[in-house]
Amino acid sequence: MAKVQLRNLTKRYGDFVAVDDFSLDVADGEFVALLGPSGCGKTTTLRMIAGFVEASTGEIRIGERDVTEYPPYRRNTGMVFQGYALFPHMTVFENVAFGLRMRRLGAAETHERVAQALKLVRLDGHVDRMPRQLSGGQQQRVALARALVVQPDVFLLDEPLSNLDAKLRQEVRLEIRQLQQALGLTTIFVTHDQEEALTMADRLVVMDRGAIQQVGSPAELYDRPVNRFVADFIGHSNFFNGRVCGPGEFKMDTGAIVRFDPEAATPQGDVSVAVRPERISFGHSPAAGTINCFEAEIEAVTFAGPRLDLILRCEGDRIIAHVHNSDGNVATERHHVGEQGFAMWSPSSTRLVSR
Amino acid sequence: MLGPATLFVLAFLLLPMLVVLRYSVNRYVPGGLMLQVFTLENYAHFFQDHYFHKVLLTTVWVSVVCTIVSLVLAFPLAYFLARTRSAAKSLLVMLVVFPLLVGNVVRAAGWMALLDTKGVVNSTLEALHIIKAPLNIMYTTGAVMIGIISIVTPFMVLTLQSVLEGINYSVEEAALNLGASPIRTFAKVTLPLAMPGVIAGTSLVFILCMNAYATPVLLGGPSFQMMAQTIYDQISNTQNWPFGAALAFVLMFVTVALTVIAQMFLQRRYKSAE
Ligand SMILES: Nc1ncnc2c1ncn2[C@@H]1O[C@H](COP(=O)(O)OP(=O)(O)OP(=O)(O)O)[C@@H](O)[C@H]1O
Ligand SMILES: [Mg+2]
Repeated sequence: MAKVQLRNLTKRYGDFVAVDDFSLDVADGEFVALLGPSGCGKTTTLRMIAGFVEASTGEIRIGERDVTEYPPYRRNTGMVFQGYALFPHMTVFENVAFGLRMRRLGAAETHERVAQALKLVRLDGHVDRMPRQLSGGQQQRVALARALVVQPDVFLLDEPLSNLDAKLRQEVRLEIRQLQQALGLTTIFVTHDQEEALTMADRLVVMDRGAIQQVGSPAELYDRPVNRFVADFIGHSNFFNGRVCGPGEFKMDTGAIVRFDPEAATPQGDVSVAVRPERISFGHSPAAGTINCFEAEIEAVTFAGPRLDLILRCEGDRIIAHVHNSDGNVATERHHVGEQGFAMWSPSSTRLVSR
Repeated sequence: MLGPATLFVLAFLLLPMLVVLRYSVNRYVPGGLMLQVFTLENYAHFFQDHYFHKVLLTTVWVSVVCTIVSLVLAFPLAYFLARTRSAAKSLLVMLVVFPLLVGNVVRAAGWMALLDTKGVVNSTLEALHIIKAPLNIMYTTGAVMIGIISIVTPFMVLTLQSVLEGINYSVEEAALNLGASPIRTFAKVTLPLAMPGVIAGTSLVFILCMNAYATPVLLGGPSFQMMAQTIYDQISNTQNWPFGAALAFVLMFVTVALTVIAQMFLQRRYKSAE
């Protein structure tokens, strides 16, 4: 395995910029997820690393090699394609052995390494099946084994779970993560599923319209989003517009003052205040010591299993607050539409983000 | 059970063949009607006369060469058509089909105008002082092959294209990703997966070549003979229906046999490709 360095990668299709000045260092053995809405350039970035898309400008280094000009077959990356792309005319064994044959390994070593790889993905015993005789999950494992068996410098996955049903997805997610950690694989994983990214990756790269919005650990991105896009894309956020009017003070457009942690980094330019729904509590009287407390009225109540979603009208905006379903009383009965009260949250739950 | 299509095939394909089969065992009477007997003398005639062996061999040789050349010419074109995302794609497909809109005879006439000693090719080469005396291209086996290849290649392109369209491009990318050079990717992945198209295309084209009539007559000249022409001569010039019918069955048998053998060979070579 090796580190991967991307320097100012840009891909243009005519006037359209699919990937815009993308720079990223992936450490040896690190698991990085590229996350963003459809069409933001995730696949294009991954395919530039694999060599299927030529970068318009920029540099790609894998390990100590500058591979920018290399054809795909000389880059030594291991890619798992969205539709698996197994060779339909080859057995499971031949599929996995393909990369080793291309590297002209001897028969004995090929057999040994294929068996090892299939065991790793718990598919030993299916070696003579054709891909079409396998379930989606099994095909997925063959694709993983096929990419891993050649010991690539970097492991590239493009939405490898999107064809699996929800339950299987959870399982495979865990398996990929365990494999990745056990083998110390440098991994770049593309997904538009934020939960997948949050639970699997060491670091996330959030992209929008071809450009990196923020890079950081899952907790960093969730708790300290730098802009409105990230705050809204990772989890949900309530936003209030206005401007900073003093240290730790933000004046909403309605004139009300929201207090935030003055120690936290303050972005430049136009800002909004972002508050996570689970940080907002709703009560009939201001709780003692609560600093941000605003009158609110319940507009709708939705039962969501482990929690209750309250849609509140607060400071002229519609916001969402989550109430935990912790005591098991049918929670919907405790709150009703039209109920008046207060929405409350602490300054440390109040994030300033650029608009 | 017998759908209308089956009945149609029976009536319009099988029936005429049965009639010809019956003719082929009749006895030829010069200048008269054939005798309704059961004899194998027409087939015996074919097996004894070297002239007809030579005609059959020429036919097979020309057909094999034309099939292989058209496969080699058509594959890159079909591959390009299958993979291109260009907006001009349907226009390109139209261009491939376009030659088929002109009849074989007219096309052969076109080749004559091009290849004749006073034709476009020779006069251009002479005007450019590349050659001193005109080249004899017309009335050679080469001219016939050029003519036939130009007719059958569109069929090959379309057959291959429809199969290549069905091959997921990411499978080729997976091969490249695993370290296969473009040539090995083609040999190990693209070609095996395209095999059904290669088999269908070569069979179709081979059959078309074996039965070519107008092109060999017009471009091959009087001394050049292929089977279709020989059969026609027997039937229309000498009125020898029984022998013509026997030759037709020999031609059909050889065509089917060679097609089946070639298919089996290709299928065995790429047995797991289906
Ligand atoms: N060959 C191409 N020609 C022109 N535009 C392209 C080409 N390939 C991709 N694009 C454009 O580049 C942008 C990024 O595409 P990309 O496939 O990288 O998105 P993505 O982030 O992977 O999206 P998704 O989540 O839907 O897979 C898209 O707007 C797409 O239309
Ligand atoms: Mg994509």
